[in-house]
Amino acid sequence: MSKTPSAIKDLTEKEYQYGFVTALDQEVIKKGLSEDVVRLISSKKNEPEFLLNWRLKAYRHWLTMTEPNWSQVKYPKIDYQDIIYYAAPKTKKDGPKSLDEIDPEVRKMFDKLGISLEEQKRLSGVAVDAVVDSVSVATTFKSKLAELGIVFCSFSEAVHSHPDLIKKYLGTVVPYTDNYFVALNSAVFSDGSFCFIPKGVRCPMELSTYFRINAADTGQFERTLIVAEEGSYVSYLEGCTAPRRDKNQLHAAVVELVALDNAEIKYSTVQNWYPGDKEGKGGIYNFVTKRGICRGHKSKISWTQVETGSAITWKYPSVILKGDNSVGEFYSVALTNNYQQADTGTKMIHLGKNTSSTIISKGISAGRGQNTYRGLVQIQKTATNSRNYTQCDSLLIGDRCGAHTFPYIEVKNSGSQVEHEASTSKIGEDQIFYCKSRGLSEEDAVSLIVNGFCKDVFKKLPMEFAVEAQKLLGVSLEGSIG
Amino acid sequence: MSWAAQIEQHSRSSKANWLKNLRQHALNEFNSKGLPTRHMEPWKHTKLSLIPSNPLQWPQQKTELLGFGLKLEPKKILDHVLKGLDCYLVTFVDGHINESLSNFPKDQGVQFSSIGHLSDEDVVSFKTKSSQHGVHSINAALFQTGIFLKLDKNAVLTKPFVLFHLSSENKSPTMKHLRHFIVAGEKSQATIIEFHMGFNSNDEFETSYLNLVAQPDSNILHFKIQEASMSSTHMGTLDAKLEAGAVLRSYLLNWGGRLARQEYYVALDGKGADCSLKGLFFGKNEQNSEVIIDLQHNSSNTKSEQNFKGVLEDKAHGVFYGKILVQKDAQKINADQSNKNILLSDDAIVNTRPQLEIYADDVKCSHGATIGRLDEGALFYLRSRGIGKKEAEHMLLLGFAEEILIDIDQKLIPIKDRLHHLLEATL
Repeated sequence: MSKTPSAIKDLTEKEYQYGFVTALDQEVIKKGLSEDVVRLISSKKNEPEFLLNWRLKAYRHWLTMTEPNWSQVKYPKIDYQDIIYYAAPKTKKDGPKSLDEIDPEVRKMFDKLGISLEEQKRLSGVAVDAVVDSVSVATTFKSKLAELGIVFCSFSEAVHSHPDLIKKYLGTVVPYTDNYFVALNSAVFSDGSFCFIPKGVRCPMELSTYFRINAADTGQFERTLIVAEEGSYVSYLEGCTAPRRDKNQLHAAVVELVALDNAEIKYSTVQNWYPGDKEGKGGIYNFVTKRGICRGHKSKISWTQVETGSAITWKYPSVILKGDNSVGEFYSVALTNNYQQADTGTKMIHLGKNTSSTIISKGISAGRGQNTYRGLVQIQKTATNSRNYTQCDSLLIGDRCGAHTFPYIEVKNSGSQVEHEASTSKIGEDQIFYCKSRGLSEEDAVSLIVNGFCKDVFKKLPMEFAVEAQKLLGVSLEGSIG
Repeated sequence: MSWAAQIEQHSRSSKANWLKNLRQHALNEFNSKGLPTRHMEPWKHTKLSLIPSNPLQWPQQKTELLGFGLKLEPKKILDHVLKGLDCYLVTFVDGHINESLSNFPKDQGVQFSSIGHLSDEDVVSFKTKSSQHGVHSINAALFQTGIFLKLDKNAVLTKPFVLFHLSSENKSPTMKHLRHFIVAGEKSQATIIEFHMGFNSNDEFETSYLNLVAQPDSNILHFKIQEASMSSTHMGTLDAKLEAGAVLRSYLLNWGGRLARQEYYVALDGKGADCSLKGLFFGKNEQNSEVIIDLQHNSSNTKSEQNFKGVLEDKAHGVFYGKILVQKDAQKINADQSNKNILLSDDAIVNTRPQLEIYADDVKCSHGATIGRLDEGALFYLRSRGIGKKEAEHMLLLGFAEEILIDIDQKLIPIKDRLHHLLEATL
């Protein structure tokens, strides 16, 4: 491998800039997990009976399960009794009614993160739900959205204001029995976002949730549920950061999307949890289950993700294409640097006729990072005339990293067409040479090539996020050399 | 009797040291691993009920061979399938070498013997302790016969060498296990053709394992034509170790068998080793046709290519599991893999898992997989030229399938003819 110019080295070794801790007045419960803890969380949130029962069922089921070990990631065993399952910034009893009531420290923290809640409100026209540790601290633009009948609020609020909707949809896409981390999340989830777009409404602005882990030794378990009724449209953004700590923290979230006839949900994530330091110490374990169901005719669900953070990412945003003519999409850029590990991909389950799905996955491995694409494309017998196109490319930067591709393709009828292609390579010396011969510096050349490599995915991101994603990639990688 | 008991009995009765060791090792491995289960990744989609859970009987040696109630004449069969191919030949009838139907290799610098004559020194070069799973252990512990072929430095096998395996009618379910050892010395050249044919309407369990060591700059061309009977479970393995500059080209026609599985374990151990694996797996009725590949780039400047095509009809089930592993520090690697499948019926199923596992950075690896039906555009074109639907489909399928053998030598035309014949007879 050729030498790394120092300017590039500076860039790749730039430290995590969101690693600060904010001194918030926190309310935390004792470490450990038991049925009492589940009851305690539920009572703290003043939850109705049905939800407590659901949590308990999930908890009891979790006890019967074992941690999965099939993925390509390696990590020391997690002690589930050494985690705090509930932490919340202390606020006035009833929670903030408007932004002015939010703890100034929390607001400062979000300002520091570049998510100025007030500015957001005034300028960018993005409705934000900010979640710190376990609870939602602020939701902007609520009243404006309410005029259209859109519900966008924290999950715990929705449990009280729209219990029938929660009851109807919670766990229908990702049942608590789905996997180990889902069962855990279902038992102890503390908050998250809820979003409901009524029939025929096109959501006029991007909805966004910002997740922040702040307290030490805590796990973050949030749940997002988005329901798009017939003919509606919503674009949803999610971002995350966490402070720098030596100890690994667990993040096990669940996201459920439901799209009815002709509805479209676009879900974008920029995940930048703390990845650990250069020696691989600390960082977030990001074990997330995301799944959407295209329940209706001609419905569409699109996942876009940029994964740059976390010590370990274990995440497969999936789409169940149940409705005829429904469409599923997955666009992903996953970057692993230093000792980061990512095992990510998607599942496209085709059940309805004429369903189609597209998967574009770009993996970048640098340092000692291990990046795995794992995907399933399943065409069931009923899904006649279905179509899938998959492309997963990996870029290797440095000779100590790894890139792996494990697609599973299962086709059970003859009228469907599935295509998969994958490639793995480093940045070609000829490509760099060409750029240099045109007067570009080596760094600019590499940056140009990396950006080009990710372009297919970035162009799918909403504007606000595309900028952030590009910056993020720049910080951790742009200018690296192969 | 259980497999473990049968293996134990066998391992005690062996005389030669190497064989004793091999069998003892197989016994230990079988005891720890057992038969494959659904939880083992490469067996995830396999119909495991077709692997007998207990040993079957050994076939009896007969004076008169029957197949489907008719008298078999191996000589005629040979003439028919090989169409006068000028070759060296070892014929196995029900797992035993038939000398009168054989023509052993006689070239200079070529040693040939049956496995019974193998000495401890001969076996040194083989990594004989490489059971991947229980079926390999069964083979290692129970194989009755096989050949040993050794090419000295610069030796050239002047004719293709055919290993012709024939199974005849048996009254009860039977099993047979074969293991062949081939060492290709430095700069040697050989063409090996493994041919399996079955005329048995009763259940049969056959394992066939080919150990190949290709020493520096040797050049091996390998074919496997598998036409086992429809009531048999055929488990074939090619276990090859390629040293510096060695070249292996292997072609597979996976045709017969109720469950037919061909596994490849290729280790590109030496700098500049080059391997290409190509094949066609075909299934109809309720056949299960599987190709499993574990290809390891252990050294720099190595190159590999895989191209497998599946054609599945009726309720057939095809499985492709192909893995390319590039080890740390194995730089300047080129690896390509392609798996294309055509489903001809709505009840046919294909599971394909092309896998790349890469721990080095200076590599160019790619894989592609497609599953679909015949190209509508091409069909339309042919039909617009006045060709009937059936015929047009037939032409396209032939084109799809025969591409696998497109680059083979003119001298091996009988193999192409055989593929053509199989396609014409089955499609």
